[in-house]
Amino acid sequence: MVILDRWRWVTIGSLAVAFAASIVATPVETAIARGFFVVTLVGAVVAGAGLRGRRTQAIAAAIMALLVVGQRIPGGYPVADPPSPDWRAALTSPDDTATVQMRLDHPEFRAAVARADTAWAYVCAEGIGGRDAALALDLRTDRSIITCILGAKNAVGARSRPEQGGMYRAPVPLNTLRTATQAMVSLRAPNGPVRVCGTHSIRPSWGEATSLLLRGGVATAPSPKGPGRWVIELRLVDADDRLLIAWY
Amino acid sequence: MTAPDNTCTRRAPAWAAQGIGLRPDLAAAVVATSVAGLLVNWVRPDDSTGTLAMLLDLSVSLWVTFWVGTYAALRICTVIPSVAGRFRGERLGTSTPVSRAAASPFRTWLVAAAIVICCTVEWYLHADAANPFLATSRPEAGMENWTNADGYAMLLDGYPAQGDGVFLLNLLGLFMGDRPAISGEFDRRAGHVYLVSLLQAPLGTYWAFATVNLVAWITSALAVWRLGWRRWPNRAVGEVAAVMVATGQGFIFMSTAPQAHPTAFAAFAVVLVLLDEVGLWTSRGAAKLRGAVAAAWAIGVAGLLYFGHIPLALVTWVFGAGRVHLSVLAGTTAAAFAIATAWQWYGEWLLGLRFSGGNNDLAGGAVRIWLRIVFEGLWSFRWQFHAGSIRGLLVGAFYYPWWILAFVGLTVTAYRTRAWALAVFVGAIAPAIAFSPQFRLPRVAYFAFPVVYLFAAAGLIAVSSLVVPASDRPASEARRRVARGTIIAAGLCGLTLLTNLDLVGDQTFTVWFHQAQENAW
Repeated sequence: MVILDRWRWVTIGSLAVAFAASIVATPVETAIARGFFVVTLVGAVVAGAGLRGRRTQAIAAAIMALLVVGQRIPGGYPVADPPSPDWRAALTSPDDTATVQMRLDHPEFRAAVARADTAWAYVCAEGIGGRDAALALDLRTDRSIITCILGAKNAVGARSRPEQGGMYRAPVPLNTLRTATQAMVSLRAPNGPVRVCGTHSIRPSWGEATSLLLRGGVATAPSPKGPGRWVIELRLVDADDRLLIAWY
Repeated sequence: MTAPDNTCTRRAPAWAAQGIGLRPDLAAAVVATSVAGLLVNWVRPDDSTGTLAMLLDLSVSLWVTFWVGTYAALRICTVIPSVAGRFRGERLGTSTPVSRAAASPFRTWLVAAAIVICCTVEWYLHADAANPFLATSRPEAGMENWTNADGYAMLLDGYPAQGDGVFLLNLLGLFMGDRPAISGEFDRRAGHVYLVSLLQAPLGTYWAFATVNLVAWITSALAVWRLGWRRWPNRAVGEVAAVMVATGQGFIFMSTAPQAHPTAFAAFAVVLVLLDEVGLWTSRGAAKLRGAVAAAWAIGVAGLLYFGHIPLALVTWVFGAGRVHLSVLAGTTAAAFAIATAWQWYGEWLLGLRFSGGNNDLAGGAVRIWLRIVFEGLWSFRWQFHAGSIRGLLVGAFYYPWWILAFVGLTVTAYRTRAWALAVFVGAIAPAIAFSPQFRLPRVAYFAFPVVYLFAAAGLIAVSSLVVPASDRPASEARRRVARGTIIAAGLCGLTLLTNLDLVGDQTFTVWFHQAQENAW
């Protein structure tokens, strides 16, 4: 008759708890998936720990059992569903406006603008096709207003089809950005609908409500699915054509 | 005067009288030099030979590839007894730990604490938006021309994280009981997601991924420390190498990225330790069978995290051939691949996962490209080593200072340790070379980190000993030890500065780690 020492009992007990906690009272598919890995992966960790002795093995088994049970603690965090990094909102009438407010007196931007040779306004849009004047972009700073017209000829970067979303850019006078402390970029579609790209907002220079959609005189968040921003950016490039900063 | 007692005379081993025969590393070097020379000179000139820099890049790429291929082939062929007879030196020593006095507990705990602190600080400094995997995808890094200002990012629990992580969330949801089984890009890496799921409820998604990476990072450093302790007579080699892991480019690049790589790197290093500890190379009888079962299980599990079973199986063949019975090697490999493949069968049959599309198909794609290149002829074959520079791939994974130190370390390392380390090196980088027509991925070549850092540590210590030689006088030697320690510390600081340049906005090394150095030097 084989007599197991207490460490071996702890190991066996812990593995039994881990297995039971993995499969009992869970959806069938989850139980199937967990069952495979609790046998192969948890089992391997515990077996490997056995090379360092029974006590180490028992401790490893207990830790793994704790983690497996912890997988099921009530009130635990749900699996995060990240906000969409790539959505579209249409500017359907000439009065619809996509706006982005930017802070230009931020030290990071100031350092880049001091080294910059050229500046560009970048817009991601879809549905421009072959039109040359599809979008009107106004850059208002606390000192001036600049208007740029964007169309097919302003396309930049890779895209697989003309109609697919992609970047369009227009040059912006650098001196305007050197002296300004803030900017409001407005985008309109005067010659037919255009879909403007949106994404999540990770590092807004102004604040969370940086981007807005003005439609019929009412300002709303651009994305119907929650907070987000237009892909409208200022990009500064140095004399060697190296991008120094992409700012929003 | 009495004659010496012959019964007590220590007999020299057979190899000492007969020589060690051919050395596979040198034989592979001869083959690699010849083939690279032929391919450079025989095939019609093109842009790949247009300038000295391009010519050198091509030559190094060809040489490394053919050296790796020939070394692996020669070693594996030693399963044939007549071939093994030509490489007698390969039977020298195996895995017996080098004998040495036990380290003081103070030193052991001090090194362990330093490793944990180093890894944690680096992990913290390169978290969320500072994660180099994410940072290098921003347009400022000059690598991508399609991303917006935030790069290829997603927001997990409000924290920015590398965008590919989104493809893991359905699997994570399946393990948490929140979502049904839905096929995804990374179904084969489900083992990593299972580990993350163990921390999901208490920590949330972002921190669960990040914590698994941190644990893997620390585990990798400790495993390399252990490998150094087992394989090098100077215990400082393992300690210095562990610090290199803690500040290593590959781990810094991954830091908090929701990806399987750090876990796979850790599995690779841990299984290397395990193969030694279970005596796969040395034990006999029942112990050997137990060792082979443990090895197969561990290698198979590494294949559930990423494709770690492939480099590990290569290592067992390249080092084990001629040392371990063919049936053990074959059985271990078959069982390991069965475990890794079992998840695919199980997942397809019971969960309806497809294991196809996206990253699931990349290995097959690389094979098809190689076949096409080979059938197109020599010019196309040689051009591939320009278009997908292997030198650029390896320098992207480890920059020149590490290679230079590693080369110094290689020259001062004893033959039996070197044979093991070269087997690990070949096993680790062969998949990266094989995959290179599809993508040049230094993060795949980074599987070589245990041996590159151990060789580099041996090299750094050798340099310090060369600058400050040992002294016979104890008082003088104490000062000299401090001086040598200072040189080593200064070397480590210099290397750490290079891997942390991204913190001051210079993404040069992290971009190279992301997409290889290509043909630039």
